[in-house]
Amino acid sequence: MSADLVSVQGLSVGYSRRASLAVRDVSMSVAAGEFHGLVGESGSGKSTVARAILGMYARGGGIRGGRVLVDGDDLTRLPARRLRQLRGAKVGYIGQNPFGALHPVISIGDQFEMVRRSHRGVLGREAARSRAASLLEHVGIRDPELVLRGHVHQLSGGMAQRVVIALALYLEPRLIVADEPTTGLDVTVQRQILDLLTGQATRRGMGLLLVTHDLGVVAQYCENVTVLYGGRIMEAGPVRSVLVTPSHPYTEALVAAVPTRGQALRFTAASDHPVIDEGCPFRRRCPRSRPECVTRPPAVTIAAGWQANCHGIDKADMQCVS
Amino acid sequence: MRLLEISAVAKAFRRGRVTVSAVDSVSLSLDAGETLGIIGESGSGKSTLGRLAVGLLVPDTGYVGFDGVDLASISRTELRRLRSDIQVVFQEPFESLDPKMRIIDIVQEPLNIHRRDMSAGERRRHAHETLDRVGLPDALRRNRPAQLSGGEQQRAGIARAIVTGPRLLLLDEPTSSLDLSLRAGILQLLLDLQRERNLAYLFVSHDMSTIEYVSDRVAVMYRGRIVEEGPAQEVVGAPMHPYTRLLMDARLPTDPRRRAATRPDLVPRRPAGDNFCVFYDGCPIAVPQCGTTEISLTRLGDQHSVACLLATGIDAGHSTAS
Repeated sequence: MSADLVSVQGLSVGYSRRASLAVRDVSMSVAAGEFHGLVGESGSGKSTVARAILGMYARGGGIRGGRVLVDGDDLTRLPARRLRQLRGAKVGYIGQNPFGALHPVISIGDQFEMVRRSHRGVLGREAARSRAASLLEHVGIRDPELVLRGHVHQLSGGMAQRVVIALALYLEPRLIVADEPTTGLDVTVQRQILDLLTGQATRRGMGLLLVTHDLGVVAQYCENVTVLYGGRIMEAGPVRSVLVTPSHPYTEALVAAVPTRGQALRFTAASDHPVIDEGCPFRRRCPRSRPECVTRPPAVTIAAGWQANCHGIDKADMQCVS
Repeated sequence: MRLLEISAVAKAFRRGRVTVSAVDSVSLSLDAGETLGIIGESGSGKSTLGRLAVGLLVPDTGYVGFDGVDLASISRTELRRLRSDIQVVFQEPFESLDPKMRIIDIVQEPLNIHRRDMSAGERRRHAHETLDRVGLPDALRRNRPAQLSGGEQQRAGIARAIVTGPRLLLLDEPTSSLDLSLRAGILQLLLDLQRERNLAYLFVSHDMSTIEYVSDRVAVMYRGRIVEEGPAQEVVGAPMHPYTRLLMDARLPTDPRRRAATRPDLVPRRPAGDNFCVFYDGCPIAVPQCGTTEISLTRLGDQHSVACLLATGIDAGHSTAS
């Protein structure tokens, strides 16, 4: 437990008093140096979980249950000032849209400077500037001085995202939360950016929470994965288990839905909306649905560190296998 | 005679004082019941090419013929009549459906224009039958687009496109805005419809696995040109153009046991002139001649064409590319 950089415990998040919860009873953790994938489709709650790790909630949103521990600190009890210090210094954040993350009229160099000052300048001004330049070089920017003097509108999407990555690395956080960091980019650029991001994180021994809808990204870069649907965890465990021999019918459907030439497409028909109540959110689309799925699915341990929340997993069967 | 014949089309757009060439000397053809996949990254001209092919854009030069009819030579009235034969499914279903209209009226509308010979009752019935076929439940048909999920909206978009009984469909990223588990259902529907109705598909996408799954033939676009074209299995399985290879290498398999190897970065070079290789400034294997020798799409195999000096072995002193 003490090795966990982040520990999310029974987290529930809602966006208004009346509406149903966006995330329900989610528990997961990321250890130092671990690359963890958080996978889900739109509306699954994956971004809500990612942002909760930085104590960020969209307007009207807030924690409705559970807690988030970052390096042992309970975010729900942390005063605003401490929370601001933690963001950037302990947890770096990379979002989907670099043009939204960077200030349009402040030069890139001044934005690095703002980060330094808001964290009470651990470095001197000159040292900080050369550190920013060397970071930009590390993320593949060929003329860092030119970029530092310039503004975001002069950059392509791929270049702007590299700047955001450099900013996230700037204070040497122990964990990077990257929420769909390459979704708007071309595939060839996506590979370059993800190779860079994971390369830098490895080099610096940082943990990484990679939020994505792309199973290929998780398979390539992560050791462990948590699969969300309808605000709940469906399955979690090592990538080499979950994506190769999925236990939960939803994970199975997700893996099978990737079109592969020469293989028939497998998919679930009917309604595409998750059911939001006490029971399993996937039950209306699930091929293995049974009457008890209206009640809360049990957490079934398939192997060490590998769990699925499902009524349909035969435990006797599991024991035979293992 | 081919159903669709495009020969040496070019289209440029003016942006202020600069003219940007979107599509440059592109030729292709398509038979009834066949799918031609067009793949490329953003800015490659794939969407422009799709729009030229169905008469939504008029080329600056070159020929677009549908069923032997030159689209440029016919009157607006005749072109309008052709629209019942040529239809389009767009990427963003919500943006292509009138938000104020009910789904059933949206699907019936093309019949009101093209099938004045049918009575209002017949048109209504036919619209319902088409919605039955695409699997949009009765209960949703009096709703407006905003009340439908993305997958349901795209089914409505497909119903509208096929209701007049077209022979050619332009599918412009029809599944890109959909979640993975919904994508497979839409792809299967499109494949079934094609088999039932002998539809010709021009399928534009940036997604390799989708293009590979649905296409008989694939054309790879880069900066307004087709750099490689051939049977889907050959282009995807044994790409000959370095750019196609780069695209294939950028794919991330969803099976963690088949993790992709780290690739070398692009090699920066000054772009070659107009009639030379469009990929010269990024190509990892280019030789100096590539920047000084004119290159066009050259037939290599039976149906496989490539625009690469090294792959075709012309005057380059290399018989094959690595």
